[in-house]
Amino acid sequence: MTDDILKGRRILVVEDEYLLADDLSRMLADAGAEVLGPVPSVREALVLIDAAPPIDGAVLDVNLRGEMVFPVAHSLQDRGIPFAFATGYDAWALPEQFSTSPRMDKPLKMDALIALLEPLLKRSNPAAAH
Amino acid sequence: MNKKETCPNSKNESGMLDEMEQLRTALESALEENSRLVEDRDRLRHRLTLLAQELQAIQVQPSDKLTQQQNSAERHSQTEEELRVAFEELQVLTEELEVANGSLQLANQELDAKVAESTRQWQEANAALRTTEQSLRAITDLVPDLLWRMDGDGQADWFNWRWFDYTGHEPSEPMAERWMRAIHPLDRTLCATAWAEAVSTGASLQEEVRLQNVDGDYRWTLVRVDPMRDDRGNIVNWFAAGTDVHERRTAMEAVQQTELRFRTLIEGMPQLVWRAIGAGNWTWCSPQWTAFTGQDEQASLGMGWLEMVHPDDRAMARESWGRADEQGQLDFEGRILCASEGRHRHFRTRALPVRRKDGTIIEWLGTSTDLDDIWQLQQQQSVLVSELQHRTRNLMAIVRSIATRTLNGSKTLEEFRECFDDRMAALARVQSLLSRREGALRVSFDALLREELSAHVRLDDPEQDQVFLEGPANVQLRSSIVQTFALAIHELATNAVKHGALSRPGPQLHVRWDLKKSSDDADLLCVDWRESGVPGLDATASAHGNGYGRELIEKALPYQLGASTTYAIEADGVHCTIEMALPIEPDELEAKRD
Repeated sequence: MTDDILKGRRILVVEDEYLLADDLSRMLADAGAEVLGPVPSVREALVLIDAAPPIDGAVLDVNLRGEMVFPVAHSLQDRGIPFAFATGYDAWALPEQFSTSPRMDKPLKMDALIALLEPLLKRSNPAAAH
Repeated sequence: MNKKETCPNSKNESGMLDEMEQLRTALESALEENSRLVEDRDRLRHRLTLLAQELQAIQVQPSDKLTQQQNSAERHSQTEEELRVAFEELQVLTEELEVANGSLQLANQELDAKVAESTRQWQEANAALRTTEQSLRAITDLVPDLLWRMDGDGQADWFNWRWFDYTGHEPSEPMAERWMRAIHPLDRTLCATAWAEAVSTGASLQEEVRLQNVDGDYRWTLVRVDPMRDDRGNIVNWFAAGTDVHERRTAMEAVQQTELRFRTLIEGMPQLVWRAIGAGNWTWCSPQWTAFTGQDEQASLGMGWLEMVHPDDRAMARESWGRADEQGQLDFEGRILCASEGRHRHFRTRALPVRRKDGTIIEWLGTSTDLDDIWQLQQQQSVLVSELQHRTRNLMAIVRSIATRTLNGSKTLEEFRECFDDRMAALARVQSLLSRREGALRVSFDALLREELSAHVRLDDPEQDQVFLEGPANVQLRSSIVQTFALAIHELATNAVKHGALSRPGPQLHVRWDLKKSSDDADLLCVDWRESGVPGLDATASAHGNGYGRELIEKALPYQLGASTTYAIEADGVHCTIEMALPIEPDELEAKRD
């Protein structure tokens, strides 16, 4: 079951639009994940990463009210935490460093999200086991 | 040539005259001698006649007297003797006369022969002269030049036929000064000056002037004037020759014009223009290059221009030149230093080869065109396109989210349709509000509020006594918060229309807003939405219908806008407060990223 892959996983959600953040959080929660956040800004995301490890993965909106989410992506990368971008941007609009990072277009769909997160999470052990 | 030929001729002529004069004198003296001899002869004849008469008279006298006879015989023999002497004398004279006559005849014959010879020589010389003059005349009329002769005052007394053909003047016209009218009025001063100098120095003159032809057209003519001098070196007159140089002159002027036009064009165009040989060795650059880059032409020559290309683009520029021969053109984009801005601007550099007939390349003509403004616009455009995509996708996600929430809050599909339509309309209104703002102008709170309430109430109706708005105009909102804020206001307004102050006549809605300073000195927008006089308020019904609205106010606004909000259903209506920080920096580039 694909649902199983998210079960008990701690997933950080960074999304500035309340309705979308809420939708995404519900989706993840429905799939059994434990949602960290959601948070609408880079600052709050970094605070959360520092304060609430361990994190199994993250879904990042790219544009947070004019502020790009990349510092958050760097921070996650440094920690070896897999993440995916949820964005309205095409791949070419992302910095070269992240041009090959997993990304999915909005509006998000649950099965597409799980399909995207599954291989990322398979490579790492559940955070709970840390 | 003329001079040399006429000299020996005139010598011959005078010699011949002398000789003839001598012959004439000789003839005259011979004639004189002849007439003297004739006179002598006549005198002798006369004497002979007298003697003969005397002798006859003696013979016829009577012979009766012997003495008489004897006397008579003596006288007779005396007379006979005299007669014989006279006869002999006559004989001698006659012989002399014959001799004289003979020599006279000889002299006459000699004279005739000499006269004939002289006449023949004279005729020959004349014929030769005539031939020479005809030749000269033929030559002067044969050469394509206009020829004429003038004295020191410029008065002309001879023209060749070409002159008359060209100008249309009649040979019979008195041309002394009139010929000068053929000179173009604008060239007359020049001619006068040059002529005055030639006359004063005795030097040749050479000028290009326009001469009017028979059709009235002026043609450029090279006029050369040379002085002709006598044996003592005095100037006798001046010969002038006019050569038609019109085609050459006009062709040259046309070339000069073309060159001038070409240069004006090149120096007037915004592109930087240059010439090169080989693989990018400049041989010339237009003044614009120097004006733009600050590098003078000398420094740009060879590969000097490369110094003005951005260091990161130099290798690419060299590579492009390396391929240019093979591709038959040069085309690359690279940055060139702009001296006035102190930065490199984006340029497109192109060149085409100028080839010989055999296809080998003589040189390259190139231009560098400033694309920086276009380049910047392209960058902006790509940002905008990506922004548009971002917003559209976000909007679709929001629409889907609203649909889900509306569906969750609806009992029937009909209720869903109505409610969803309203919310989509609100979303559409705020989009149009966002796109309507001009330039960097932001959407103001009062505009947003009026836009939403206008969907339900005629605010501009002076009769309406239900809605009261109080607060400063032009409180500007970041466009990133406008959409969520508008959706929240829409929910408040919709709820008021369905269940609250605007659901019937009588109750009132007061919206008051103001700007305050927060503890950390940020501008705070404080909004107070209060409905009053709403009878029989069913808290449960209201709460049910307003789940989504409450969520927006109580959760979305704090989450998204960092706002502090309250929402309460009080005894006579809804009371809602919103406090949120306004952007500090007004120049934030929201149009690009928000």
